[in-house]
Amino acid sequence: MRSLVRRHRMGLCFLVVMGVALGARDGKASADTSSDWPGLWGPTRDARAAEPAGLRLAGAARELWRRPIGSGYSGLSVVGGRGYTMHSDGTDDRVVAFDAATGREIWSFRLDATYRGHDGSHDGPISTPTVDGGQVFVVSPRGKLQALDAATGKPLWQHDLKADFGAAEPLYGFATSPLVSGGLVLVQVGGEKHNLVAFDRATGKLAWTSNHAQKTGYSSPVLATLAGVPQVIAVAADKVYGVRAGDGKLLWSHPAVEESSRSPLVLPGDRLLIPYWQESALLQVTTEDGTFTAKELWKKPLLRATYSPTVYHDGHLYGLNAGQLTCLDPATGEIKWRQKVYGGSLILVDRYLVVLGERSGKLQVIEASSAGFQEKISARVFNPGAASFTAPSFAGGKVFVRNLEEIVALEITAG
Amino acid sequence: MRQIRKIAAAPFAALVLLAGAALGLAGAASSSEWPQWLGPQGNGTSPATGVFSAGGPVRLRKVWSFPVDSGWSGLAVVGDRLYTLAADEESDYALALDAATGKEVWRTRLDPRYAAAESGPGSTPAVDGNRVFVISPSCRLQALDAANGSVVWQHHLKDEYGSGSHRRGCMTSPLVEGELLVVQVSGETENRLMAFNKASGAVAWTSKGAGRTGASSPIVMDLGGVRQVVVHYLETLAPPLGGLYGAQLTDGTVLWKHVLDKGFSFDTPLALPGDRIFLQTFSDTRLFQMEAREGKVAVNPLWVVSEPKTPGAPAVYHDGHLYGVGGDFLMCLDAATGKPVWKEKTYAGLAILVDGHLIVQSQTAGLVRVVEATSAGYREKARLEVLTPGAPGNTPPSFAGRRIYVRNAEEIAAVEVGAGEPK
Repeated sequence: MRSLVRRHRMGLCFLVVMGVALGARDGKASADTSSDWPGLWGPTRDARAAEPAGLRLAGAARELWRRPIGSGYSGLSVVGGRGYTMHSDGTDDRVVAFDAATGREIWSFRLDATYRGHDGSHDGPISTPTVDGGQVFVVSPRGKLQALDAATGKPLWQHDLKADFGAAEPLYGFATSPLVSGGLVLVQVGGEKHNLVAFDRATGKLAWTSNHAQKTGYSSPVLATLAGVPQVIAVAADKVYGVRAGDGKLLWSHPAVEESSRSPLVLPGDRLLIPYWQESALLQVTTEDGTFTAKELWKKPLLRATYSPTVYHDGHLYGLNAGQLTCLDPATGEIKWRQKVYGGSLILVDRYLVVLGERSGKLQVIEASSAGFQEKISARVFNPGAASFTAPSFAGGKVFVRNLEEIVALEITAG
Repeated sequence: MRQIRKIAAAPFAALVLLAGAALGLAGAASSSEWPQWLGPQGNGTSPATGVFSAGGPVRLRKVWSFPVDSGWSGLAVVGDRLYTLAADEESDYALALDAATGKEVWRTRLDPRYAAAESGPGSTPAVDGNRVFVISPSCRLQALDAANGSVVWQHHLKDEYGSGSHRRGCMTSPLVEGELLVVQVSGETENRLMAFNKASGAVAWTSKGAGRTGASSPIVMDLGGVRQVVVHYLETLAPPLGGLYGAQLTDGTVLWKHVLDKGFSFDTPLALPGDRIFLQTFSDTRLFQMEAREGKVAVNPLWVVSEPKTPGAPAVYHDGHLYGVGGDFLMCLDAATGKPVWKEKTYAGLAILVDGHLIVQSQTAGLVRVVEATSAGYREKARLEVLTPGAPGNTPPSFAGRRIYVRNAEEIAAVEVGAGEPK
């Protein structure tokens, strides 16, 4: 089993040897992007796979491959049959690309010296690579924004968010994942003068900058169309707000409930679920004569911020808190059911929740149904006791999961 | 996070001899007990002998299980009873089980559930004669009748003595020493030790120690011929900085104080032979040499190393080496230098020492391992999956009789240690 923990030099040699084969593969690159998982929490950044409906579940999970990986929180982004993630090899934090079918490493780029865990956190990178249009965009825990060529891992351009934009390093390091919108890469920098910033994706040149908010936390911006207007939603320490992607113009804002939060979840009907440390809040965004307003529908100590996204399916929210899986009706804030699952993190694939335990080593597939908890598949995929703080990914019909020591690809579909 | 500590007056070797005599032949049921946080000597070490020294394979067998809803208090096992604290949605309560069968004997509600203590109660009961001393997360100190759990006397540490403690409630464990019950009562603005007459609950003394607060538990040591209570407390809150101080057992007079240059934790210090104190914080791990001279105690740092950082209970000491879990690794350190001798990935866990072996409970893997306490390397003798993998837990095991007692937030279990093939 070849390790993903490799020195950059060795990765290059491997690349040269494999150069011909890769070229051939590129020629037959899949044009079907509907099965990609191109960044944090999937194609629409709401932890939902874009696969066609009607998925037929197998009776059990089938392991495809397993590789060692180093410590880190970064998610697994999968585009065109290739996976991308970040980890610590013990000395350095690295961006790696691997073959999604075999797990074999394709290239490895040294990003920074490893960010050491402290006060309860673990070593390694935190944010998830954003992969789009042949480029990979990452942010290191110390605030290095790096653009790489997806095929080769060659650096294209970079910025030091602290030095260049006065960003303050959060206590546990930068965790924000970049967002691609057209020709721009948006990053929640968190500086006083440069809070949400857009760069030209090809050159790294500053396209626009904004300071609608103070500071930032560990969340990432998301794209949404609210009241018919495409916009970028960001959650900062003091407010939740929406801006126009093209120029960063502020459309609306609403005070944050508290400083600590995670990325917002966009719900049908122009609603946003904002998870905070102690509570979560549901906002309604409306527009009148082109002016936006955001109103809080409710605020509850439920579905609070954790590593896991909360997903929306068929009128209900499904999220993890204190090891419990909770099904909630967002219209009323009422809990439909709860079940102890020792999770972890979850995503939605068709009408199923794929739940990974935080230390149980277990992967469960559960019906996303408000009727009650129905487990369909349960599999031990990791050593119990080994921790995972990373949501699964779903791409090309496969489930990809990682913890602080291994990365595994599985199939859960029948046939 | 961990509290109670007690060091016997007799030298360790003499204690083993005494215990050995009381225990009789190897293989016979040991009468060893675990009456408080970190065991009879307050150092995570059992005086039992003849548990593993017959040699040969070790067999572990889960003999009973008892469900609870919440809590991480340690398990005190004395005679045929096991005592601990737990919580359900409404109450924080003290629980007594039959140690042989796991059946509930009594349950005493201490207070309404202290909501801010999300993981439930953390204080470990101290058992002495026919009394069980408990501290609820709401900071109520109670002496309960061991037979039926009825309240004999109580004090509200917050209302009566201004205990502010940690916002997650009182986690400190009480300590029995002679006629006294010693408790670290962290004030809102001032850290204090209090001693109560264990029979009546009358206040024996109050020591105005130092610093702001503290959530760890006191230990007892002899330094320079003076028996004293040693405590790890919080000198400042912002930035959080820990310290150690020693107070005279007879009247609580503070004899010495040492503030760390960095780091703090909720861990209980560990006393090592030769007047040394071992302390783990969130920042690092340290060993101090205490020098008592002419009524004064000097605190000399011996070494500072980066691992293991605080896991929740201190390492154990055996034959010149320290054994403990830091992060995902069980480690053996050379006590003279702090340098690691070996490391083994066992995932996060806590260990105690029984008859030259480590009983390592992995906190979330649900595994109990028996490992030789030797600097030669990691030598596992047995393992058993006892608790549900992934379930939350942060309690070190206890050992009494021939059994290992373990718990997590949802289950208490007993594991019988079998001798395997007798030689």
